[in-house]
Amino acid sequence: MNAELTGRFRPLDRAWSVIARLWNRGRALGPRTVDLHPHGILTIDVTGDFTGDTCLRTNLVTKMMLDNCAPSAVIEIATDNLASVETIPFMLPSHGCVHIATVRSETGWIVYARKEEGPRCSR
Amino acid sequence: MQQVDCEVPAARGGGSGQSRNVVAALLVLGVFVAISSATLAADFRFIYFSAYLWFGFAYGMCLQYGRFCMASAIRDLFAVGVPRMAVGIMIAVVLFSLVSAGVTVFGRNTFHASPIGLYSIVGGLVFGIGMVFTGGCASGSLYKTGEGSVAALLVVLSLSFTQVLVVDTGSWSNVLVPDSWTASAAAKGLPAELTATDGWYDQFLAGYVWDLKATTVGQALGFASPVAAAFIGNSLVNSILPALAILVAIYAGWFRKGYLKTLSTPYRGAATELEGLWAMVTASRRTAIAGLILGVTAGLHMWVMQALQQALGIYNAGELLQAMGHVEGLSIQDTVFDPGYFYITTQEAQGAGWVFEKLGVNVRDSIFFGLDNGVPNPLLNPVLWMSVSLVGGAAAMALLNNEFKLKFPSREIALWAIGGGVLMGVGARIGLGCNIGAFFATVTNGDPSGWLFGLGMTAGGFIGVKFFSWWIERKMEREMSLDL
Repeated sequence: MNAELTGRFRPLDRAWSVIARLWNRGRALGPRTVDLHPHGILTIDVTGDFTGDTCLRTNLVTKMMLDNCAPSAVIEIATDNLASVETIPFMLPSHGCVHIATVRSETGWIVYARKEEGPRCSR
Repeated sequence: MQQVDCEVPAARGGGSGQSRNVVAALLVLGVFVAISSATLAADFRFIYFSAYLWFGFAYGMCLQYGRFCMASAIRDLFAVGVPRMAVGIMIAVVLFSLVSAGVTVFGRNTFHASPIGLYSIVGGLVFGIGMVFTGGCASGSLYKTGEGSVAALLVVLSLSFTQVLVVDTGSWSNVLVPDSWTASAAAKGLPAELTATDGWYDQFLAGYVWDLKATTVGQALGFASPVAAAFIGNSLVNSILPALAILVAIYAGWFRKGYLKTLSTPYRGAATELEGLWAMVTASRRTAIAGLILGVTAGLHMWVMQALQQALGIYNAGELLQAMGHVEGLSIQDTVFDPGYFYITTQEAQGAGWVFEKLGVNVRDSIFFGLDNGVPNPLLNPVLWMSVSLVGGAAAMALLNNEFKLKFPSREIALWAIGGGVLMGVGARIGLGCNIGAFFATVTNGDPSGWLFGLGMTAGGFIGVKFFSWWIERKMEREMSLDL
């Protein structure tokens, strides 16, 4: 389950594990690293793969992910929906997250974000 | 909240993939150049068709570049609190209204106001629910089709065929019709072949909608000067002030709190608030630019079509088709649908209606098709040329930016697309248009009925978002029970 695999993931309500099961389709969920120029090597804590999903579904579940991340967690959101690629960076600040980068992948785009430390993280 | 680095990167490295996409984009452009050139060579009067075609192509490029989508505007606001698209649409409304006012003053406006009534709210409501379910409005689904989304194509098809079923409802639907509508429809003395007192939609139009008053704000305020009517009544009062009020409401409700939280300078009252408002408007450069270009293009479109009508000596493309020897599919008045401005749903209904006729169903016994719009061959439907080239323009832009991807939907997404498309089709016919014809082109030309449709569409979008959120949670709960 996602909560067991990810290092800095907050002990969650049951809903989160179900979100992960539903929406992370066969991607490696454990801590792993990516070399993201010019940000250096990042350890990914939470991954959501929404390839093939509609924008509303992508945005709603991303919102749930962002709300449930632990402070300083690095989040990776994969999508091939252009409207979501545009919208997600705008969602991040109101969920206590900062946009690191958006990069092109084989199947679409990956948005990287980090949950901020401090009081803005508590919702 | 204020400034977000959201530029979508293109494919890394460029190389052969990028080159292939550029070639493909040029091929798409070449197809439309060939169609335009070949038809013009055959008959110069096809210039009227080509005008629709190239404005459609420009709309497609613009919509794709800005990811312009009314569903996105309402959905992102209510679902995830992002005002980017709603702001872009208000920018386009302001610009389009100003250009429209200029076009009106010069006597080049092709717009006709819609009757003002409750039907706009009801139609907008049903349309709004549907567009949230599908993930795209009428224009959004077209440009997403150009990006390679098969789900969006399903929406377009579902929306098109549903409209035909709505306008051609048979005698079974007479039980839904109030007696007053039947009496009023009968009193209109319409030709017998239209069967105006048989079927819900015909009686809805002839017995209810036609009895409502249609006016622009410029006319209603009684301005003697055409300039004042166009710029003060239609543009300022009906478009700019409501758009600014909406922008302020969005700022206060969704943007201000985050903006003030990240403010690095001391709070300076109104100056800070105005800076915040400006930061919201310019937060997404891409959307703002697209809104600006879309607004100006839509205004110019009316100018060009009216100028061509004058040059060709026609009031309607039906006259042109008749003169060119193509009389099949004309309405009983020898007309076809020819708004002279940006429109989406009626020409799609015509395309579906043509398919129905080929299958042996007479759809021209309805007022919608039979009296004005006709059911021309899709190859000779100038407004349908605009829709097809809109898809082409979006495809070309997506290819140029390496954003084209052929995507087949899962069965579940396909069902949402078809079901939502059905609601959009029903809403479009009740509301006499979609997010473009009944809202965007309407509010910007001084017609207050557009705001009624917009109100209904926003309420429908809100309901759609709530329903979709509930559905996702329900699915999660079901999965959870299996998990345990």
